[in-house]
Amino acid sequence: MPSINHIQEELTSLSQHVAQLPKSTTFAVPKDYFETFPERLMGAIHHEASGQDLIELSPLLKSLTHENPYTIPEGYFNNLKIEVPRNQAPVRGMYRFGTLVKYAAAACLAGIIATVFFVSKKENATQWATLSKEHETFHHTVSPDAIAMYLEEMDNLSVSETSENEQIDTGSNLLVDLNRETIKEILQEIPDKDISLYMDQDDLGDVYSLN
Amino acid sequence: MLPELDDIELVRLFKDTQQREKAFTSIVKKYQEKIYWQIRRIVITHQDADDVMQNVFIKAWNGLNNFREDAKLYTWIYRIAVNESLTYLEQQKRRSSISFDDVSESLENKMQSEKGFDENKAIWKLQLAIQQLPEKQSIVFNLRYFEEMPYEEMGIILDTSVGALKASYHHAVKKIEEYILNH
Repeated sequence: MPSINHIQEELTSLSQHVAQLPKSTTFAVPKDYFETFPERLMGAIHHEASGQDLIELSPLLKSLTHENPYTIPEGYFNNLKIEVPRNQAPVRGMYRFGTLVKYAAAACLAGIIATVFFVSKKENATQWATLSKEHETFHHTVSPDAIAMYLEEMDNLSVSETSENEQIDTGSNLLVDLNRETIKEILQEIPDKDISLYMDQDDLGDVYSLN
Repeated sequence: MLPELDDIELVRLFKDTQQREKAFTSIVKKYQEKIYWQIRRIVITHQDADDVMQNVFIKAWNGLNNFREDAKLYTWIYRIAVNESLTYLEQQKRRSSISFDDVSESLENKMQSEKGFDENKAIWKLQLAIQQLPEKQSIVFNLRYFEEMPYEEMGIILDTSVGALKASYHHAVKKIEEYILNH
């Protein structure tokens, strides 16, 4: 048995407030109750054993306890036989072949669906893993400064591309911006012989005649 | 009355029809006070406690012939007492056709009508706090706090593991502390 100190220590560790409460008895008990209880108890036990309780409660009921109002045919229990019916119902197996086939087909179908689902999910997972790995590698190998620089260059490039496009549109079909003076200068440097040879070759004179 | 005998001797004497009554009277005298207080803390009023006491010892009288000597007599009677007390409350609940919360409330009312009740006194506050606990926690608390019963013995009476009883006692103490601090 644990010592009282042990139990008190446990209580103090749980709650100092509860441990300080008095343990004295709060409820009142009638005088001599414990002195008289065993005698009263034995009286009650004898009372119950003798069936006296029912006599006091209802003498009429007590007088009827051993009387049975129901009757049975004479010799009923001597002639009592339990007959087993001859034509017994045929015994059927718990499992029929058709039912088993249905269950097997359903199980196969469920298995196929589950496999397809599992495989597709696995592939997706692999792709995601690869992409994220590449993404991770990219971040590890390329510094943030480099990325920023690249993006800046891309912005500049797109701006210059836009202005070039505008120039192309205004120059209609010309790849470079050449004015009339420049063309004249270039043509002066080329010998007349070569020019006339070029014009004769593809018969372009009508199309590109320059004033 | 027989001289001071241990429980095993008393049970052996009980099985002798000539000595039965004397042996049983000795057992009752030995344990009546402890059993009474355990019952009283559950059912609150003396009248109810007296009814339950009679039922407990009548059951003990009827069952003692089959009592195994390897078990403790005191623990066995305690177990009957706890079961009978709870059955008594259950019957009251059914008779009144009220919910369990209402029974707890009616127990509180019964306590308030007890002689010398003073809700400002710590000792009554503790009793009111115990009434707020769930059934099992209040029984565990009573057995440990007032009876200073070891958890192992409590486990036999309540058919519960030592770990669960420790947890119940811990929760009970915390709830009682909270109640006392807030009231």
